[in-house]
Amino acid sequence: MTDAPDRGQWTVAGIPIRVTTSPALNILQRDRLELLEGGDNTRAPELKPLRDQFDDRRELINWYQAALVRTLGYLDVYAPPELLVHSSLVADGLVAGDDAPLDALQVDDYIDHMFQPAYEHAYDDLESNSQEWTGQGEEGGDYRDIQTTTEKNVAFKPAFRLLDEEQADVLKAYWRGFDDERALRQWAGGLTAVTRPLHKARTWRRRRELPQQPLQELIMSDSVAVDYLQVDVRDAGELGGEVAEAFEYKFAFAASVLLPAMALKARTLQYNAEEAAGGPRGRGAAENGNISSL
Amino acid sequence: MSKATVHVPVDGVDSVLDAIRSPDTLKQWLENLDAANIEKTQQETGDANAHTIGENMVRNLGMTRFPAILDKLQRVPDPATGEPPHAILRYPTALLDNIIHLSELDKYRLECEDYQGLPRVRRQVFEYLNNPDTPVDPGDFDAIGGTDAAIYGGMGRGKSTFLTTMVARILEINNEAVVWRGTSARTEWLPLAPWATVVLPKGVDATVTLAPPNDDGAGSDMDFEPIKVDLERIVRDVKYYDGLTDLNHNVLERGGFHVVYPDPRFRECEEVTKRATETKVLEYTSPWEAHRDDELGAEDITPEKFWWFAWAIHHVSEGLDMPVSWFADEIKALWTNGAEKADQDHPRFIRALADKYVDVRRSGLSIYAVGHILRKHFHHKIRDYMRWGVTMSGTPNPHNEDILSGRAPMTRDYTSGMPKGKALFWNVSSQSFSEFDWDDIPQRHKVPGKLRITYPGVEEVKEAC
Repeated sequence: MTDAPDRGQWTVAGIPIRVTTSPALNILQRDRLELLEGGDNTRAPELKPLRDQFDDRRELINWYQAALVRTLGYLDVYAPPELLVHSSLVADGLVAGDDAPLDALQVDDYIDHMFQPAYEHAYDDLESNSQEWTGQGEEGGDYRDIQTTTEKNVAFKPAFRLLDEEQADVLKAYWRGFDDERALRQWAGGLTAVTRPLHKARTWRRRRELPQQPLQELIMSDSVAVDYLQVDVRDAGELGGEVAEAFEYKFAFAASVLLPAMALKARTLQYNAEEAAGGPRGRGAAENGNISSL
Repeated sequence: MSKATVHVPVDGVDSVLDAIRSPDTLKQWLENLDAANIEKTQQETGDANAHTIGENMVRNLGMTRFPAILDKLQRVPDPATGEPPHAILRYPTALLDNIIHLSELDKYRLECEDYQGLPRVRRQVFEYLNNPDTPVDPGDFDAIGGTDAAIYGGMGRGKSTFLTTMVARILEINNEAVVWRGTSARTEWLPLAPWATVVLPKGVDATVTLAPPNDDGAGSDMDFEPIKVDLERIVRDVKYYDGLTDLNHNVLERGGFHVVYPDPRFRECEEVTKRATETKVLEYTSPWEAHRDDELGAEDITPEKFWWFAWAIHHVSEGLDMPVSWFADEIKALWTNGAEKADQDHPRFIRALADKYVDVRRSGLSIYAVGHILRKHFHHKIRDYMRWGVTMSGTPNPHNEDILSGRAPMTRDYTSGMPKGKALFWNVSSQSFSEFDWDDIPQRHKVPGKLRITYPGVEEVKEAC
């Protein structure tokens, strides 16, 4: 039996969460509310909430990346990022452009039919794997020690926070463009840390046309991609012309290739609280004797 | 001292030190080093049901068969979690994907579970992969075609034994042709002499000599002049090639271990680079050409080792559809990152290989390049394409940095504190890594001394330029 928590510490943008004895579930709820309502101005770049709508499609892609991590990759299943290119209902409804309808109902629709199912799937997944912190047992941790207002780790997992930061950095560099082909190649090589190769997903994404190469090869073997990806598109709306053209390409590429590959990474992430510093990328440092493993 | 405690295959010798004191006993050691039942292998008999050279090598070196290693690793705890299986099985892309070479056809074999015609070990490895009760399955493997590894570390960390072990495993698991880069300066392949086919250029006289091991502290009784030896009595076979096509099409044998020496005549080298698409034409000048042409001097002669660039390009563009693993020790000589400073032509050779690197993998050529210092000895133009690294113990592994064709999957240094005999295998494409280790090889195979293969005639022509 636990004491009733102080409700004031368990709200985001004035909206309370349903407090459980599992810190991971509480934090996942916090993450959802930040995505939709309150945003997170401690994150770099800042996380704008969906309800505020976005200034441009670049912000939309950035939000999508954050949302993929915070739904443990499930948003990719219920609201595939490719829809951002193929469905104006989705993209126009979420971006407050000059002549796009500022329609709160459209945002509600998106949340109800696309975002919420993804979030609930993530919640169910986490619920079956998460631990209760009741102040007893070996760890002795208490769920009340983990506050929504102060806990930094996405889904209460350091590995996810690390993934979120690294993916956000990748996108930041992506919009900024690259000085030359070598810099682009280096960046493309770094994608392996924050994505999973799309061809690995063929068992559960059968219906989609997916590239069959590692991303770096895909990018560097395509001269159009090599040209456009080097361009700085941060001021595309103001500059127009070739920069605007490059932005269209980059937006489509991000939605159709980068975000799905990032989503797969979130979906298959193996997380372990002990590997907080290193994230989930591998194991191996054995301290036992020689076992003749080769 | 009884013979049982002396592991040297030389009559009347009481100790290893005695064996190497005289050139004759050292020569006998080499000549008596044999591989039991090698004459029964499929490469010798032509019988596809017989065991392979690789399987024979593993048995004679006292190594555990690879299917048994896989079984064992399932029971060995992963120290990071305390639970089996070992990291090698948990993260198959770190090491297994690198040494189990799969072609498109192999993918079909695995899907259909049809292993007809495969040697025993390969069949058992495939069965292991398809067994639903094992932690590894074929879908875990990313690499189709050739793989690669930038292997590096300081001296004295067991690198020679590691390479011997790798050669044996690659042969055992894949039954593919292994090509070892032969150089006159080093013979790290000597422990594998009983299985070696030494491949020399036709029409160039070679002298084979045996010299004692270096011993700066020893007295004069350890020293002797190099003596000539008969290569045919030391290795499994000696073959000759007449140009790149002859070598790659006729001489290289599936499942054979070949120690190949470059052709100082550079036959077909320039032509191959002219015929190959998407790569620069490389100009080769042999000592004979320089001698004939008054305007050319000794400084215009292309270094013999540059032949390897044309060899790789030939394999990729005109080779047979036969997987090959190339072991290139002292890679600094070919891929040094300081190439621009030393020789204005060297970068062009490096660039030519880099331009073809994507096709290298597709052609089934696996490259195992060995050096000491990663960034210095592996030119960045080629390094930027590579997917695997192997950091030996005693050298820090990369962490939190971009390296090879991606980012190091490690977030801290594991290898600096590792004991000799251990190393880290890591993959930047799949972001995985795994520690591994290997046994020492039997004493009888650790032949000290140096076997040198030189071309005195070529040296004379060079001097006359």
